[in-house]
Amino acid sequence: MKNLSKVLLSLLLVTALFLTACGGQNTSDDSSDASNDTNQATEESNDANQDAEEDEAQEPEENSDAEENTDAEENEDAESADVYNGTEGKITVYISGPEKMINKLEETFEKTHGDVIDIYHAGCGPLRQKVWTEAEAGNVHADVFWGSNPLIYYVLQDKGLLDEYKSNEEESFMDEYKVSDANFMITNARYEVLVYGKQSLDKENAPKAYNDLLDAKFDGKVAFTDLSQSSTAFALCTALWEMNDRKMDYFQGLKDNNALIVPKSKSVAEKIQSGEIEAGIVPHDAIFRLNKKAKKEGFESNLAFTWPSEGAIQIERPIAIIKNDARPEKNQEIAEQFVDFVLSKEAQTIMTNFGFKSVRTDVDAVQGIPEDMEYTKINWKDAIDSEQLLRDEFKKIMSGNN
Amino acid sequence: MVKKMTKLIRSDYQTGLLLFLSVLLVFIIAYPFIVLMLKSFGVANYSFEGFSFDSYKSVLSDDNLMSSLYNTLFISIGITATTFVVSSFLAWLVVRTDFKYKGFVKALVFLTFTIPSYVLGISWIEFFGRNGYLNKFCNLLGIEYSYNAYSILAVIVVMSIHLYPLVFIAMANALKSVDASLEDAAMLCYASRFKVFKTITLPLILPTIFSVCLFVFSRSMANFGVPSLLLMPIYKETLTTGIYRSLNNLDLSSAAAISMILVLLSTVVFVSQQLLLKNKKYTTISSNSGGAKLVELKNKSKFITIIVFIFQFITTIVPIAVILFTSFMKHWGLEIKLSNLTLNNYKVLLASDFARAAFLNSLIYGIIASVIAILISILVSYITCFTRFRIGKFMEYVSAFPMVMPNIVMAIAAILAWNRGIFDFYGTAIIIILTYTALFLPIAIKQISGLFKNFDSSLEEAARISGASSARAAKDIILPYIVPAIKSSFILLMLIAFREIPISLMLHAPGTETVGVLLFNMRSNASGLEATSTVASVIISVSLLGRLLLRKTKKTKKEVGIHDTSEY
Repeated sequence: MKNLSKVLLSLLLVTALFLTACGGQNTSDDSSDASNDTNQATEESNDANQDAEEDEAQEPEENSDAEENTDAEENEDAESADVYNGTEGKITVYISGPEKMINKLEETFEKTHGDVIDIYHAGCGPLRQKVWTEAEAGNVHADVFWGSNPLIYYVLQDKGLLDEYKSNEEESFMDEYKVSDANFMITNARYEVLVYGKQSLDKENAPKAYNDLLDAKFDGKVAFTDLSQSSTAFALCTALWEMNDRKMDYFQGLKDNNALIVPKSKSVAEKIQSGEIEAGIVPHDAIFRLNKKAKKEGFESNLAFTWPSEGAIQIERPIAIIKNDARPEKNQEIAEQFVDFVLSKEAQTIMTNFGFKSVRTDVDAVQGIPEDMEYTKINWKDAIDSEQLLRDEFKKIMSGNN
Repeated sequence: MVKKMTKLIRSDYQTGLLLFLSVLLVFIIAYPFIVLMLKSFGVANYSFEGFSFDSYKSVLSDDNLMSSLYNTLFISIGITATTFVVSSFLAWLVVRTDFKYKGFVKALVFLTFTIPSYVLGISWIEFFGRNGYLNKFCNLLGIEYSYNAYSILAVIVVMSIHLYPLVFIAMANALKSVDASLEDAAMLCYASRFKVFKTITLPLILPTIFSVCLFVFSRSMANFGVPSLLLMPIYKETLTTGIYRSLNNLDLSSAAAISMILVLLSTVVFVSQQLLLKNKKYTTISSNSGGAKLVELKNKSKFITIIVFIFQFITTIVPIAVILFTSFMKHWGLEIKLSNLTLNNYKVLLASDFARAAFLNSLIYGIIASVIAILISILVSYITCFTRFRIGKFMEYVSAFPMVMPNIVMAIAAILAWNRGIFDFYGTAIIIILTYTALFLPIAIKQISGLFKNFDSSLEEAARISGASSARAAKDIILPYIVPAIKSSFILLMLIAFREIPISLMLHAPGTETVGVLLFNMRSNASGLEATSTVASVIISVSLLGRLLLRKTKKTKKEVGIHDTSEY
């Protein structure tokens, strides 16, 4: 009896070990690399940058290897995924952005192509987290990734996870939206503007520059988006940090002014709309849509915005195909068609109707964006190496532990 | 106690069953936990190459962890103390005095219990926020009012309201079970009321008090929804929100390390609770007396009644009213007038495919996971109680293990464990169902094994002596006996499935969103709190319905166990 129990127990232990081992094997290389990278980034961001450059240098070889081997099983060492999770004839698209716009785009695309897209829609923060987690495990489950700002794309580029596809539609782009240093394309742009509540503030008292939010009169009446929960906010913080000579003063000012930290940029607008706070920084397109919605539902919107005197920060929204050598040819084709579609005049016009600025020369500008207004363009590629530093510092300041 | 008949001879098919069960339990519970533990030590594969304490070092040297640990303990102690004080008073009032409105108190305590804590948190914001109802009311009176709705105190108050019914029920039961004739005897010997309480009542109910307090403590520690709602906006952290933020910061190793710290803390609490429960046995002395003599409240009666009514009004009526009212507003924050009210929120919710899918998903995942959990629990309980297979005890321990794992930790473990190799369930319904099953197992096993242990095995023996096979005896004797427990476990687990947030939040993918995801994401999505309130109203209704059903199936059972609770 005792012996039998022992045998059973040891069998169990072996099973447990076996299972754990299974878990590790396939992805061990990728994930340990990735975690090393993050650790180093925490400690010395400069080193991490060098690592990244080294990785980049190594990748082309590996990728060309991978391309030669059509047999998926032999590609275990390649950076890109060797397993395809989807089914043939249907691609998975990771998207963040306004739900209605995405539905409209999906509908329009599938009208001509049939039911070929599965959409995973999430907030920009959770989506970024998902892509990152999957990238660390070595297998991003998306065919197309349409995110909220270029930062993570440069990281994916460094990891060799972006497919080299470039759409011909880019030829009709304004020059500033053509991307030459990475395998993604810009779909549209948004501007971080100063939003305030009409009912409590008149035009005179409304904030006119980003720095006005640090004024004592907004004490306890400002909200700011948490950079760890929103990818757009992370881009905004990066920009504000770059604009303040790479110093954290702006965030310290917000903390001193008892700013509420909310999970999404839209929550800032939402809190202003409902009167919980009075001012904040929000992408312009969100205000455009919220005001439209209020009109439709028959209540007076409380939202108004001013164009920051420093020049509004521009945030571009990229799209890219995720590299996967095991992807069926048909799906690659659909993915390319979808990217082309998003960049086409038809889709771009739909996006303008939702408040986004088109990247094409042949699409009209959005109402409400003042012409000839100044805006600030951020060099995202330079900023990615300071990512961890910014996250840590932000956390320290906001939690009062600095 | 009658010695239980045990089976010593094992057939091949039994061996197979034992093996299958063990492997299943290891697969669902032990494997994700081991992966989590290894990850926290930086081990990604089993060669132990990357083994290090780095993530612990970096987490422990981080001021944020220390402050979140402090906040967690402060909040948990605060909640435990508050619920203890409030519940002792209410339990005493209901069990030991001639208070008139006992039924009313019991009914409202029950109602409070049906509100998920996250929903309570939302109603707190709607009531106390800068643009909340209280502020609007004050403005009407011309009072300048500013109260910060987001604070540690807010978490303590909201969680205390959510958890005090548990303590109340446990304490009321304990007080009831104290044999009044013992107290009467002491009184006859001229002992003072205080002395009677100190030397007789208190020692008898002390184990229950301790154990329920520890339970509340660990529930408070494990909660994610309320702190995420009331603390994250002011950037204060608890361990659970710390895990969430680490994950958002793309730092899986830190998330794993904080998770392990949280597991360690709750293990300590859990073990002390178990030790205390062991000593509880001596409280159950059967009593035939008609209960203790009731204390007369006399002239204080009115005063106490008013206090209790106000308390119940604030803790139950106001939150529900606030949520309901907001769900009819065109937009949260608008002026309160008739033209700003609408039924549209409900229409939108009903018409939304996403919402319908979320409810359906919660239903399906809940059903599948609870059926699996209940089946495993029945088998494991049967093995521990009716056989001498030592592995039974082992399986019971493994099944109860998720008890010490807060939901958010289970989610992290699942992400790490089911994301790779042949177990690539990430993004599918399977990962949610597996994790739900692990979440449900300890609760189901608690409910069902308790029943098995009280089962008078002579009944089964009688059946066997009369020539029934063991299968026949199980079918005709044991099954009818446990059916009520199965039903009530099922309803209980379904209730949890409908209010669960962290697991679904971390593990959902397109098409696998649940009610919890719907509720959590509403807050920050296109719509304001009016949409959240609409979902919340529906959840409260479902929850109330479930609780009523549960009470009906439980009517025959005297005691309401302290584990009759869900995470929120």
